[in-house]
Amino acid sequence: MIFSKVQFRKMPGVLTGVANSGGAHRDMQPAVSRRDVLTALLAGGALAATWTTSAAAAALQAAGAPAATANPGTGAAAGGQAAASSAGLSAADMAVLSAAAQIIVPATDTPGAQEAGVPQFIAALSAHWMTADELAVFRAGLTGLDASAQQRHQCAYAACTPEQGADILQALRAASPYGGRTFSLSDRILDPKAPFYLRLRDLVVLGYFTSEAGSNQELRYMPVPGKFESNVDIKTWPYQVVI
Amino acid sequence: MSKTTQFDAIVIGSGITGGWAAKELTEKGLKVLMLERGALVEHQKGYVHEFTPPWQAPNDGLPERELYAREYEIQSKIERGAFSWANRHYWINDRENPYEQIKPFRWHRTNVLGGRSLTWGRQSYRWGNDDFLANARDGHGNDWPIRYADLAPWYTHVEKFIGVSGQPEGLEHFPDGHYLPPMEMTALERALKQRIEGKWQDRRVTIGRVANLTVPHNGRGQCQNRNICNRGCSFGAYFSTLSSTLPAAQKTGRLTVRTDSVVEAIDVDPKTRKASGVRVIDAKTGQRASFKARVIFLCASTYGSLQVLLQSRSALHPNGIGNHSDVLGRYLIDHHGVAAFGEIKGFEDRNYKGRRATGILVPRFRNVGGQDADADFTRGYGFQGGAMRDDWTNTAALTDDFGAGMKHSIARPGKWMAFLGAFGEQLPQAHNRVVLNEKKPGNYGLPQLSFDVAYGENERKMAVDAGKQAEQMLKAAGAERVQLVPSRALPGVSIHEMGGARMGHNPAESVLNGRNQVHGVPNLFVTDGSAMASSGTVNPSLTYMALTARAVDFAVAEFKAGRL
Ligand SMILES: Cc1cc2nc3c(=O)[nH]c(=O)nc-3n(C[C@H](O)[C@H](O)[C@H](O)COP(=O)(O)OP(=O)(O)OC[C@H]3O[C@@H](n4cnc5c(N)ncnc54)[C@H](O)[C@@H]3O)c2cc1C
Ligand code: SF4
Repeated sequence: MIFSKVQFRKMPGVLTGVANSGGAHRDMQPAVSRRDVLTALLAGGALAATWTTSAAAAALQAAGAPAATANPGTGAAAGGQAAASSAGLSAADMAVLSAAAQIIVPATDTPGAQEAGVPQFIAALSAHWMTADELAVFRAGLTGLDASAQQRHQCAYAACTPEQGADILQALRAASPYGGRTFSLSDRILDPKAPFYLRLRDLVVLGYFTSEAGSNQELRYMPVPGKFESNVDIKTWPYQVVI
Repeated sequence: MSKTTQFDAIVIGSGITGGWAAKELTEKGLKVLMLERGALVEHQKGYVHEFTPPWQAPNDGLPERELYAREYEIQSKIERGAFSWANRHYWINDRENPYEQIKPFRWHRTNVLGGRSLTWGRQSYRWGNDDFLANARDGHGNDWPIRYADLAPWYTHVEKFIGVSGQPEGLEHFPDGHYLPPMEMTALERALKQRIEGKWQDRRVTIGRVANLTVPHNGRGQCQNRNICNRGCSFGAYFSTLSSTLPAAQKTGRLTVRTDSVVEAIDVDPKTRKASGVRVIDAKTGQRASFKARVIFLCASTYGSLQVLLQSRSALHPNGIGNHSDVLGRYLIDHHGVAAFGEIKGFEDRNYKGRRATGILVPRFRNVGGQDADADFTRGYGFQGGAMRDDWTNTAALTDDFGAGMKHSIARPGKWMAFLGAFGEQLPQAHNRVVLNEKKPGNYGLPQLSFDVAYGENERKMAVDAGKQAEQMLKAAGAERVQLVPSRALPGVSIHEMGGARMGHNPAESVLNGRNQVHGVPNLFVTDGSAMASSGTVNPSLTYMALTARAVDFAVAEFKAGRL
């Protein structure tokens, strides 16, 4: 579901009078409607006091909620992504970004940034979300990575070994210390003074941990946890529940 | 264009208080019209992002800055994340609905059926008798015309219907109610409780009393511990108008709901001196209509109701309904505060599973039953907080490193952090007020509401004390590097706005009597936060609900006796 990253869904229903800026592909809606999910949920007894977590999960699964992105708009989503790339980042930018993303969040026993679709997510942000200034800084930063790669290792960044790529990132990190202190990742991403290294690192981290892979395989996506177990041994449950 | 359909009662607003008024009025046999300015949101169907997973959130949940700056300049600044991509469509469009800020003021409001009952934090506490006596005791503000005993049975009535989970504590100034089983504390919260209560005998740490159902209740489903309540909840597991009072009112067959209906003013008949009807502007077409009824409940939220009252001018009430002595719009109050947090070590092997939809609470302990010798301020404050592990977004923002180690560490539960945020009482003062600015037209050509509200010296001193006490308690609980942060520093931020049409003994000092009846207009009742004469130290909405149910009981008796 890589392309779910580049779908900007307009909220169905009540949005009278709410301006919605952005491209045409924002009107896409999931093929599995919320009504289907709700019908399944209610059939499972949501209001009948016999509700269990597994029933909820089963109902959601049956209704396809977690995978609700497959829809007639998928082609348009891919188109949207292409549009995103052309409007925001060039093919050369994307090559550097993909390589750097995979070094920031490598594949381990779980997928890495590339497998999770993070470069596409950032491409979409660059096309629809970043300001012109942010985009300029971001693109210059990517170009700079390529230049450093040439200088230090005589290769394009995307062609470097992971060790060389990490070495370049490490040097950039050391050269752009971040003095600010914030409480959450999105606060930092919203800081207009964040240097390129930090912006890159934070967007990759955000994209990864909100991706389907990151949400399910690193964090624990639980749409309906059911219980709150207030005091569990970390050895039996070393996870964070996200929704 | 004018319509003259006859209803027994009109309820203006569909939020927490309007929902309660509609339920009680219809259940007691009256034919009711509910008028709501906002758009229709239906229970379940309207919660469009309730099941949207993180990877489908637009921009991965990053704010749409351009849109927010243009359309939601005020609403998007709500503290504690209550405004987000997942519920943006509940909030009012600030560009279309401007107001004037003589001094900086955050007016946080929704614009949908259900009002802020959809987005509230659900913390539900009774006020104690000391709260109702505070004004009389120290002379700030006017004497409340009611006492705790007047409201106690109505608190019970409300709690039994909406379902509040909580732990009885047996404290006189912090009364217990009727509770569903309490939610559980985390390992660190238990330690915090033990350590704080061990050091200070007059302090108590209790689990937040919250209108979430820990067991199924009145046909509504049990809370699933998702803590995404402000998106809306298809389980009906937290109290909202849509999950709870509206279905009850609709079941009677006596309720008519009209959304997109902006109430402009209430008319008063010069002969009978009673409210005769309500004038409405259709939010979509701009067309005007009017509706008549023998009883009117104004429940449009504190400032919403003040706006309607101020706009309702006639020969009898040239400065707005009930504004006999320039009290209308004055004595605005809220909760100011400060917050503290710190890391506590020693619980690294403990974790929790699920997302609990409440925090912890330290009831007021300052100036209880008299002035503390070392306090240089009057009244008091309570704390709400929690002790949880940093989540991945916090952990990720602690460093700027990269690679497999970073990936692994962010995925693990973070440091244990304890947090306490004060809710301080604000003294009622005449100069804190709203007026209409006729020179600035707002939405629908109605004058803008103009805010001139600021915290004063007593609030400043109290916040300093609250910061000190929070720091001491966190340190006593083992916290390192405790940090204070401003919180609730700007008026409006707490979203516990009260006053402006306060209750009182007579029209010289107040707008409403002890039954929430406008002095001199016996069939007009105002039962939202504007009725409050002081602000107490706990969240106010449960008290609004109790006041509303009590006022309806009185109004219906009067109605049936032919006096309205
Ligand atoms: C994020 C957040 C967290 C909160 N947490 C808590 C908490 O934990 N505990 C607590 O006690 N309180 C909390 N509150 C406050 C609580 O939401 C309010 O006190 C409560 O909703 C007030 O009820 P109300 O009926 O007066 O107003 P609302 O619920 O705001 O409803 C008023 C309704 O009237 C409508 N209206 C306004 N003007 C007009 C008009 N002219 N014509 C027609 N209709 C009109 C509005 O559109 C709205 O639907 C919180 C609020 C927010 C936003
Ligand atoms: S935490 Fe409970 S009340 Fe809140 S949305 Fe989830 S199930 Fe509903």
